[in-house]
Amino acid sequence: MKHAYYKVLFILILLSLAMPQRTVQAYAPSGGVNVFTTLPELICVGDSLTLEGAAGVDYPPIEPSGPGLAPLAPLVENAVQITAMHGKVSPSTITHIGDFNYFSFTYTATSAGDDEIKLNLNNGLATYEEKFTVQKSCDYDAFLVTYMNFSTQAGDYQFRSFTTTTGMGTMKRLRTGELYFQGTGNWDLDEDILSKPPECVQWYTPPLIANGPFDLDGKLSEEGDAVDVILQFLPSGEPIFHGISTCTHADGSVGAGWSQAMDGNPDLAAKIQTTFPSEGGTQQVEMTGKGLSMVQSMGDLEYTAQLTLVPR
Amino acid sequence: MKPTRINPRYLFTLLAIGLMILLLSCNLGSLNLPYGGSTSNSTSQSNGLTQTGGVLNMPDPAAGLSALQSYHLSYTSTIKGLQKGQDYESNLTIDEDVVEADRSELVQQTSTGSQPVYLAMVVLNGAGYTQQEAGGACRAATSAEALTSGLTWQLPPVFGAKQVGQETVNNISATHYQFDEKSVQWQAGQNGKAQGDVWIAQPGGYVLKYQLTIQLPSGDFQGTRTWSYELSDINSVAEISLPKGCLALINDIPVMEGASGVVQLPGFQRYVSSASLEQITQFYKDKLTAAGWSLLPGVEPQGGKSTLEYVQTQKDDRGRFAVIQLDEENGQTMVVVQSAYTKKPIVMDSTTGSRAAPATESPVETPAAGSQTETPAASASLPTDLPQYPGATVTVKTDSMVVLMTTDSPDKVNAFYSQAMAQVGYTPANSLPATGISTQTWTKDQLQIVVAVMQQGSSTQIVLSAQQK
Repeated sequence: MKHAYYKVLFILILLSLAMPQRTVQAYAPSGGVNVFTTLPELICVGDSLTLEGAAGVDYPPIEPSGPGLAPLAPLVENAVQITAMHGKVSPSTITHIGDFNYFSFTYTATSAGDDEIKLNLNNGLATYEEKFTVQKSCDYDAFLVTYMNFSTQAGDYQFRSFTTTTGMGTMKRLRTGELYFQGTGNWDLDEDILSKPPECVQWYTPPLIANGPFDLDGKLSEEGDAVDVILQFLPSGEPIFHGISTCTHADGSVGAGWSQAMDGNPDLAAKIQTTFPSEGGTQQVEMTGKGLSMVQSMGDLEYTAQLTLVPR
Repeated sequence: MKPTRINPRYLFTLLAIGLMILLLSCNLGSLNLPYGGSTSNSTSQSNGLTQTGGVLNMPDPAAGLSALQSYHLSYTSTIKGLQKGQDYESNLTIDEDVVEADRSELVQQTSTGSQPVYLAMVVLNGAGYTQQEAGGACRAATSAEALTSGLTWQLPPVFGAKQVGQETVNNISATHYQFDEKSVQWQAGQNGKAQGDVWIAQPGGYVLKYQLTIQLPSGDFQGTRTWSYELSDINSVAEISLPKGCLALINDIPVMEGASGVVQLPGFQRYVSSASLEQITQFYKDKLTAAGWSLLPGVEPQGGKSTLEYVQTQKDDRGRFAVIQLDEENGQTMVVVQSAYTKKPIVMDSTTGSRAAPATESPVETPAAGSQTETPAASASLPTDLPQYPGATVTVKTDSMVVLMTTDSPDKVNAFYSQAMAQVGYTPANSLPATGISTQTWTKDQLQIVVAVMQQGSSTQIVLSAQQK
């Protein structure tokens, strides 16, 4: 008889476990945790990345069908535990009051190799994992592109030109100081005259082709999360020949002319100074310099400069 | 004290009662009676929202948004009070624009004891962008998967809100409901007090506006929580823009098949290809020309390096250019593509300019005031029989003009063309020596060729241009 009680008891326990338990379901929260910030293509030892995400606990859809369903403590603390396999994370725990919050934390790569960031909301309610590889050291490749749309009125003639400048260089970490970078690169300029001189019925002005070097200097911030970059253009060093321009007049006669720019003045050369996150990226940047100011004072100049820093 | 042993009979009885309670609660749950009870004048949405007899049950306040083509959303939630006796305050604001699958969201949050959050997120043409500082650097990914988790904002579900009238909110007809703590029990708890309003779009059944304030007088946290939510510009947001300083990925310019080491950054693309300089040049010519780009003829490839410049006029009349740099070494070519927009289109006055005008142009050439009435010359293609100076390097070439460089003297070049042009049937029209530059004009049939020669440093530049007489 005693065994029979236990058998029935066992069956009832099984039955109770198998049945949906609505009361428990209504109070069991679900949630999610996510990092929105895209990781850079290359992460290097010493890099410090700020990552942002959100964590939320879903509201149980409690219908007011009876008393006693409401929780005693409606506003709970939610905690996101953040860990990295090798690197450092700060803070390692983020607590928030409320059901839904955004958060920000910093990951610093401390050693080369595979690493993994894990986020854990409320002891396993929701998790997030991101795996990546940390490189030993990073120098940077720098890429530049600028365009200048210039116009000015000279009597009846509205002069218009379109100029692109491209540049490539490499900035290497100095062995004497881990925070500093130095490098060089080369720029290539190509200017097209867009407007027809009024006295010509047919015209040809060759593109102005010029090139020269530039210097790169960089400094990593103490926190390792940013790189200050200075790109200093240097003059070509050789006379810049504009080539032969031809102009056919209405009577069929042809005229030709040429122009030449002599050695550039380094005092007029443009400079770019900006700050990148340590993982690099692309930014629209400002150029400064007396030469640029002179051009701006001579007419209407629309320009954009775009600098890209890619860890290598 | 001796431990008490429970008699299995009592345990069985207790479990049996417990099981009955469980089964009963399940049955009650399956009835799913709406708060308010009446079944008349009932409307039910597929998102679970019901508006029955002037009573609203809304289990998912975000439901219904996906049916909208576009909208702007403003969301604010605040928490202010004492947490375990300490001052605590949190403010979260979200501004979101949605246009079909594209979305931009600006999140700003400050919370006691936490780092402030500034996060601009954009999903545009399948790519994802994040920016952590206004005007700062932008991170981008070709996939927007991380930004489409759905974890963006939350509003408390509402059960049993009572209709108070019909109103118009942001030009949309809506039913206004009000509710109290009984409708938001999870957030208000047993002792909280709540005042809430929600406006449901009619038709549509989505939340147009939502306001809720909850006072929590007891517990670990004592203070006030608020939510504010509003939709506007419904189906009238034109497009999603990237935040200032954030450039678009170049995901509309194709990458060579078999490319390796692909780096995609906003406005920048780099990869390595085993294809030759010529193959890559042809690849871009085919693909970009078909996509409405025009190639600006530039410097001929030299030393395994080449630069291609393409321009395009946008629908909004802006210009766009793409500079493609190729660097071939040891059978591998590094390809760098950089692209940006210009406020004005890049337009040449006419096809007789220094470079071929973009295909999208239709320039009209007007002779200058005071010009004679003769028919102006028009450009012509360079004839195939035109003598090329032996050993000269082509630096620039268009359909109607070619620029050559040689180390020979201008006199030697002039002598060559005086003889070579005549040999292929051209007749001299005139010859103009000028300071530092000389021109020869030759004609044949309706074609006129101008040969201009001048010294440039240690080299001589030759320009051959063709035009109709």
